[in-house]
Amino acid sequence: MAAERMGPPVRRRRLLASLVTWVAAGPLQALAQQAARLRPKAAPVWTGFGLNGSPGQARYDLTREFVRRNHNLNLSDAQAFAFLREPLRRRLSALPELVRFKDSVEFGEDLLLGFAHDFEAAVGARLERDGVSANTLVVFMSGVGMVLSYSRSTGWRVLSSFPFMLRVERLGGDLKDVPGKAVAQLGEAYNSYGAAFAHFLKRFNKWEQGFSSNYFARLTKAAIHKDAADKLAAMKLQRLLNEEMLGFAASAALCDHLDIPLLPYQENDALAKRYAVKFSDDLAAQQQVEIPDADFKFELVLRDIDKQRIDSSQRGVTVVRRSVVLRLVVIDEFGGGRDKPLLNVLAASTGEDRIPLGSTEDDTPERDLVFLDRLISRTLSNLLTGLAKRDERLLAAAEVKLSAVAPALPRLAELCAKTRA
Amino acid sequence: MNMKLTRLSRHLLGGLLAMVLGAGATAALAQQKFVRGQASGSGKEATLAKAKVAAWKNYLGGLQGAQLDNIVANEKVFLDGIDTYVVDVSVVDEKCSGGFSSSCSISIKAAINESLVESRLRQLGQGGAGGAPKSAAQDDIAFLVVARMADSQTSFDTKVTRRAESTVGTSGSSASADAAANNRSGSAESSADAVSVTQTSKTVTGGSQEVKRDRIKYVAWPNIDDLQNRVGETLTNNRIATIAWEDLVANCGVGDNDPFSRLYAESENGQLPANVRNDTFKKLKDCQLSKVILASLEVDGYRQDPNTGLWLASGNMNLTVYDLSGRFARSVGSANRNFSGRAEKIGDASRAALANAAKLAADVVVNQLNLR
Repeated sequence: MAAERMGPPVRRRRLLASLVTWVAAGPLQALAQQAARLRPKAAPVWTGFGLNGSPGQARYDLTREFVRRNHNLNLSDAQAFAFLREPLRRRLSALPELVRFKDSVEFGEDLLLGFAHDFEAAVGARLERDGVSANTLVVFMSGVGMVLSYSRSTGWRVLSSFPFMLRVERLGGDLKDVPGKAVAQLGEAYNSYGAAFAHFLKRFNKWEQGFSSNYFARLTKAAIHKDAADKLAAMKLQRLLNEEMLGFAASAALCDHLDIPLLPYQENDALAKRYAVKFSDDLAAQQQVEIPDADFKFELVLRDIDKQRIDSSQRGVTVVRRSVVLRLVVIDEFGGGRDKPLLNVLAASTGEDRIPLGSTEDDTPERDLVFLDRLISRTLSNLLTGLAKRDERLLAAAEVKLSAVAPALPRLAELCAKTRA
Repeated sequence: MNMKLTRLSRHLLGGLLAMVLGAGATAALAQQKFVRGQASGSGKEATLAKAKVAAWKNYLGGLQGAQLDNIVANEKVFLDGIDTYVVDVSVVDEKCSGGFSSSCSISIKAAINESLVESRLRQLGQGGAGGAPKSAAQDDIAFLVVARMADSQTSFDTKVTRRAESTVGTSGSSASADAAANNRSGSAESSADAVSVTQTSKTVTGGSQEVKRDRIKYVAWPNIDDLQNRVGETLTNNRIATIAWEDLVANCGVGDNDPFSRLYAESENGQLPANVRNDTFKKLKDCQLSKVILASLEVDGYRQDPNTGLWLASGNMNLTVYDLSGRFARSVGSANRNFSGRAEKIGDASRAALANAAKLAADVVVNQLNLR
């Protein structure tokens, strides 16, 4: 329409200019991007399951006890995860288009696929199940799937990684000895964990399309603001709902709802450190596996939380109203970096929970944790999906106005596409 | 590159991920480093070239020491062949105004092929391919490696000394008592020369504790020739001429290299005794050698990586290049590096660690000498 008003000479000039731009830019960009795109010949080779950190760490207490109790092994034992080997192999064997099993790996040719366990926690709380309050055991497990390549000239490269979090809820009996009950459920939880891994593998291991070998996204910060930290402490939740749990949950949510591979959130003993492997022609070769500096970064702050009890004697219930406020900062390293974030948005949600009137038995820190975690998940889901789909309704559910974030959305979509490659 | 580099054995497959995730401390070998570059200019290709240069400059910003100095001294060589070193270029953003003389702004993400950078530096050090010959690299150089490994460690409990002092003041007498060493022994003095009327009493307690540093007993690395050969091999690959130590023993009257490691192992301060060093340097100088490189390597820590079950041996290396051409031996370059090695057996881990150290030492030497 605008072109019609301009008149023929201007229109021709513009068209010509556009054509020149397209002709010149097309091959250049295509060539450059093609060079950075790794196109494997076959699906990655399965390497195994491991801990994303030292087995001595407290965050593996449940698995450590599970391995000791059920298999009489230490977590540092090479056979500690033998119990998972066969079930995972069976599950992944059903996906021959996504993963291969080989007795040996050709470095420089084969891509490697692994599954690392990041985090676990368990709480027991009275929760409503099928309309009835029941003692419930909730197990949180967070892990990351990784596709890596190695060659002597390039060293190790992370080509794709997909963090995810699993929440398993089971009837919990009398809620005494929650860790013991969680350990008893862990075999089943690991089974679900394997299923979750396979699910995300289908979404993020699109090897036949190639991987972007040099553009990365990552959650680089998960923090709890002092306002929220004080309230969490008052609710006796500061040890459960901490920055570590927030980070793993947020990293999984970003991957899931923006549909992008995300570098592992935590840089502990993991990829950032060292690697040793035997080479046939040398005793040992050692190379550093570095988590590359991300180009597309996210920071999440739990800005505030709130909890109110409202007694309704007429209905015979106490309504517990909880709220969370999150701040999401999106940083485009090619567009101003930390000083000029692409997006800096506050999102909030409120949820209601009903317990028997005046009940103190049901109103526990563990129940608060479960509901706050659900609220954080829901807020992130609405916010991120709303941003990805430019969905006004979803954004409104996270108390975000589309008009406030709209200017950033085209670039956000562009960066997500680059990350997916 | 699809060249088959190695085969990973079956039993390693299960542990691979854990090893990927393992921790430790070692030197990073050459890899591809990711860099960003942004540029504006006229014409797409010219702007893309400028963005690559910007990416290269960003890479240099992360370097230091002799390697950076070497690259900066030869920067034109690298800029002329920038497509060789700045690889895997991905255009992240591209904004160009229309027209033949378009104005563009381009952002790229790329990788630096450090292996090729190092290779080029070596060539330049050898004076080939357009670089000026490095006279220092052509000199005959003596190279002595000494290595020791921790054999046993004596740990000391914290020594605690408690002291209690009580004073009773009277109008004309005083008594004090000292008790030391866990209050088991002490001394007391008293005098009484006046009517004793107790007025005040005071008790002061205090003390100190002393932590004595663990004493590590070292033994000389028995296969010093292995290390000497490893370092020599890397230097030879870089066309830096070194004289085999046995030739120096035969022709210059210096001692065999084994005893040096023994002296180093026995040394409290981690250095060869000054008289031994000076005597050796004098003999080398008399033999018309103008440079000697002394590398002392020690493996002082062992631990088992719980993720992999592999032994991790770690240590550090001190390396000094001496110029013998003047009246006195003069240090013209030095470096300190940490290194480590992993293997299933502790002895193999030490060997791997020292092999890595030898590679590190050689790399440092190459850069130090190429800079001269």
